Amino acid sequence: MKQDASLNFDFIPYWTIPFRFFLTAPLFAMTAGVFLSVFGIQALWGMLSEGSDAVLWQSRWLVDVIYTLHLITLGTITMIMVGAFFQVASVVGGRLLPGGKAVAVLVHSFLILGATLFLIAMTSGVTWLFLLASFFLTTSLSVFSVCGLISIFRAQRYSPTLISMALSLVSLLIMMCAGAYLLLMHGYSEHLGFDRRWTDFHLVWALAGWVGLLIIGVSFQVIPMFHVTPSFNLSFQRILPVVVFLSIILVSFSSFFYKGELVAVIGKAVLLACYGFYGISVWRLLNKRKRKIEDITVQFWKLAVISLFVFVILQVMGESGLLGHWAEELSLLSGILLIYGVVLSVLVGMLQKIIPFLSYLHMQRFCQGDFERIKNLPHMRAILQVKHSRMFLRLHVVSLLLLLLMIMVPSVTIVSGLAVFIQFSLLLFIVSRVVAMVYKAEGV
Amino acid sequence: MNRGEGVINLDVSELEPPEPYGLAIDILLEMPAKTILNLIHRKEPYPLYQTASEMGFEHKTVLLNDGRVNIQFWHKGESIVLRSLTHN
Repeated sequence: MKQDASLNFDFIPYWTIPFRFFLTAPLFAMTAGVFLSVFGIQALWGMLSEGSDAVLWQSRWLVDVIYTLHLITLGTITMIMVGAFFQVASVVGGRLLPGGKAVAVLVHSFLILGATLFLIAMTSGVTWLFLLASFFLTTSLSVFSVCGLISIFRAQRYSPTLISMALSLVSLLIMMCAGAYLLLMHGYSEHLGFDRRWTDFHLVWALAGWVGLLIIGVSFQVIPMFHVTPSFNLSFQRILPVVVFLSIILVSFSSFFYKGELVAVIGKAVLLACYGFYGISVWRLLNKRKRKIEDITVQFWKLAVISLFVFVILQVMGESGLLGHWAEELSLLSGILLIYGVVLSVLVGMLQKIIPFLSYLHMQRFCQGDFERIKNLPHMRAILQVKHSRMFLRLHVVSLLLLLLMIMVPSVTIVSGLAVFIQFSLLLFIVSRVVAMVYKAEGV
Repeated sequence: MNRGEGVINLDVSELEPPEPYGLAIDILLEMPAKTILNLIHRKEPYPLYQTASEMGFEHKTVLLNDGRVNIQFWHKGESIVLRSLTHN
């Protein structure tokens, strides 16, 4: 009988491997919060001292927007996803990523260095720092992608989750190459010029490919498992990741070569439809939960689906020309909705389940046959307290709303930054508390 | 949980992991001799099999028509229980 053949708990990476990523991720979002508040203070000071209007958030092409965004996308989102990948790939595929702890340490440290140097290069404008940031980021993400793909090819069995994860890694490699080129164009524009088409190319492979496909694949496992729902339809699981991947190819190349033409619009429509359909499927499954108890992760998922639909509506309005005068605001609002409302909601929501589950799994293994110790292990709700998760959800909603408001009312930027900082300080506290608990259990 | 004559019934099919594992271990730790833990689960609990085996239990798994699984645990070597179980 292979009812549960999709999961194999014999292959679990050492606990510090995923947790080092989860522990670092909030620090970058907190830094982004600090930067936002500083921008807000600078704008306010300009208004008070010079009587000028606030000049924030006028375009997505501003350097301030680019590095604040990458503090979140590289430092927080990618950090969480890479950590989760080490865990999920091993359990789903029954194979650990090659290289073990050494590879995890290299990927983690180079990602930290790359994301930090990205920030320093962008703020200082020192050209060689762009090259250095590019080196650390491409090394980290290439090593990770190749090791991830090797573990998937060696998997004991194939599943739609693994296919989706493999396509996500391929997307990561494509996104990374485009991203590195963009970074070098920022540093060496006099030699390389600056072709803005690469930005949208990079963006679609990053968000719809690397992030979206990994979320889709992992959700096939974790939604039925953690929320006690029926499984996603098997045909849907097999078809969706492939259609999404093909749509990304169509969108990225048509937008690059035929921007504004029918083929580019069709590609975008297909991609949005795929994610819209996925959002509906997630919502319907979550409504079929057997136990209708309070579940913070479900609320995060629903917030993500709502944000996704608002994003889709904004995109349709943008394409139809209904918001012609608001094009820049529309692109910034869309970005916040997609990154903070959809992606971060899903990731930090899943962390509320993954962190206590992993901790319990590892603490149970530390007991090594001492069954009285197993009996005394803390329960899930004691490992990660519901009151902390509930508070974290509320802070997340407040941060999201303030960030959206900030685009229309720039004077809100100070408070938005503060909200992001407080929200992720709480996540840092939550993760640190659990890490201390596991560390203590291992040492007993 | 339902305790009958020599049988403890436990349905964990609506619980999220790792609650089923913790509940089952709690019962196995205090389960008297010649007793069966009759567990209904959504999926095969491989980590529980391993721990239960280390604790000195044997098990038998049956796939139910609705996709859930029925697992029965008993103390190793209790052939009387095993015989009655396999005859049911």
